[in-house]
Amino acid sequence: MTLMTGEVVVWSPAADVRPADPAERLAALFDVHHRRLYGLARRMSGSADAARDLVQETYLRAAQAVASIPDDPAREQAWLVRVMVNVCRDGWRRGAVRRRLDPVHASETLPRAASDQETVLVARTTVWRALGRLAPRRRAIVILYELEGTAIGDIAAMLRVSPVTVRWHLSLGRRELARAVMADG
Amino acid sequence: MVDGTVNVGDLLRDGDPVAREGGLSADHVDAMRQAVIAAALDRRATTWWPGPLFVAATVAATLVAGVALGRLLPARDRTTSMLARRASVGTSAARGNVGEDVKTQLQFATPGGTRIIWVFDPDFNP
Repeated sequence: MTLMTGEVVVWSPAADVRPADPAERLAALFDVHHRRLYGLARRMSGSADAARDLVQETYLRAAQAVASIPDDPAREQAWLVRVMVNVCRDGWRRGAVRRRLDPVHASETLPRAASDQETVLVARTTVWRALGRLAPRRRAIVILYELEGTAIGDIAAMLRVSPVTVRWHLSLGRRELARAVMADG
Repeated sequence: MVDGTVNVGDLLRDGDPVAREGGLSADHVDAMRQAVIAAALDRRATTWWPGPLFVAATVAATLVAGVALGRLLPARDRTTSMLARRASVGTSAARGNVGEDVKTQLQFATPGGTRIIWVFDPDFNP
């Protein structure tokens, strides 16, 4: 008979200590969330440069309000996403003036496609261009749901709107995108 | 697009720039991280000094100077200056000697020349 002896080892994960220094906190926020934010920013913007600017602007705004960022990782990510959508909205409002003054650029359409392959390519380009014309919150909802697979309830919590509002934006967003594709195809 | 219907989700996924381009390069990540931390440090440096500390020091110095000045001035001077502040209304008080039948009175002279004399009754007990 073998007698096994041992001692009970109680393991508990290290306490989740948040850095008190704002610079350290911001660095930690950057390290944890920059990939996710860049993905969203790239889908929200027309180019990689614009996406990088968007991410940087989001973190610069966070630097101005480090104390108000929630401690919980999920909530801090939601906070950053909300800030990003707000940065987009600011840019959108400024761009709305330019679009009104530049109707030629606003009504820009792609050339008619000849083959099926070209049709798909044109439709793909058109849908992304139409996505870029959606209002920022609607655009974010379409991206979060269609491309990132985020559930309606999670999107609602993240953007602090009701699930009904998310569904409404999603429905109208899809309809606008489909209409753009149909008009171009 | 199939038979006139558009699957927006599929088209979006097919043209997803993140899938096509990948994420941020290491250089971009480093540059962005440094810019963000520099902004946080810059903000900390500007909020710590000199604003709040300077205001607090000025308020404290003013209070100390005020209290010191108040203690240096004789009490009578302070009473006189208080009374002089009442818009051109003169006041005076007359008291009898201690131990006598004390009658206290207060005299006012209004700007119109009317003279008012209040005599305080020491036995008055409301």
